[in-house]
Amino acid sequence: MPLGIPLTDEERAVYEWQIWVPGFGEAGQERLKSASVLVSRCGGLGSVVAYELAAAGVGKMVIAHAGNVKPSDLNRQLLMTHDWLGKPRVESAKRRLNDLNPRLEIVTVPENINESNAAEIVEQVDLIVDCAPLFNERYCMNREAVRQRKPLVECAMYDLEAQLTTIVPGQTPCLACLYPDDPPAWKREFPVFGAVSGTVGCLGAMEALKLLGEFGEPLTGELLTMDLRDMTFRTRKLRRNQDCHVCGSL
Amino acid sequence: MNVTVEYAAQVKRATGISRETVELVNGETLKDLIPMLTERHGDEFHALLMEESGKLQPSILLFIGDEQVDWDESRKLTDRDVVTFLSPISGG
Repeated sequence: MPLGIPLTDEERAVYEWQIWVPGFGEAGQERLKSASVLVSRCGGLGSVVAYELAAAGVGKMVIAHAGNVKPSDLNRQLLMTHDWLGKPRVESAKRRLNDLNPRLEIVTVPENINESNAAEIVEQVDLIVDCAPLFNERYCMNREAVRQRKPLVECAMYDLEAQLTTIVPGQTPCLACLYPDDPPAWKREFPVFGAVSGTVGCLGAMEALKLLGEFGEPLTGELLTMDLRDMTFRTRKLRRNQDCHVCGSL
Repeated sequence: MNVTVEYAAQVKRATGISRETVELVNGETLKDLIPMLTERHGDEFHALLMEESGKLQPSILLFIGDEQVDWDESRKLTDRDVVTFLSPISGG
């Protein structure tokens, strides 16, 4: 994880309230300033992850997401706005994030993560937050996270439910330990509310902040499940697959 | 004896319920329980859970209490165990 960059007086003023958090402090804020994160994609989940990380003072963010803003994005993709319909999502995200935090360095990639771009994109960051809907994309990020030994926060949602876990290669199960093959029944489009993606997005951002700021206890090797229909939250232990074709050799 | 079975995400949608109580005799394993559930909940649930080979879909996560378990392990279920089926979900 990053060593930290000294804060300016302006940054001390902006981040004062979180610098008061025990275990975090100015040293934690300096680590966030020097940290870089990939958020893939910036949809319902990724918008909220990116917004919270920008607000918290992460130094650099790489945002990967193909395509233009559509009407059906606007119930949950909080970095997209009505006036940006038909224009690239990553540009809308960059504009909104820099309105909030003009100090944030943003690299926009108008593509989804795939076999050919994953290695190069992951090389640019310290940590990955996976907010992608398709397992092929998620497997690409997982493979690179494992190969480059970088932590990966996995966020997922469906209906009023959500799941979250943090992968640390070699220490925890990786995505392929849990789901070895592309789940045949999973569909690209599914029912969900923006309040559900927002909930798990905030929690995913918190996981990233704990790892980068080196405080708290990340959700490593555990799966947090939430059902917002009856507000049931549970944490369950996950197992590594010793024969995993991605991380089994670590 | 009774065990509680919980369902999440697509398997919850297929069963139409989030949890139920299942009465067992004694000594059943997960491998014994699963056919009872697929018979109870029909084709959609069966297709989500099982491969044509008769094995559990590898992307279904199974838990007894808070511990992840394999579907074919020999551990016997005990009274008041809570068995959870989680189907995979994603971002978007």
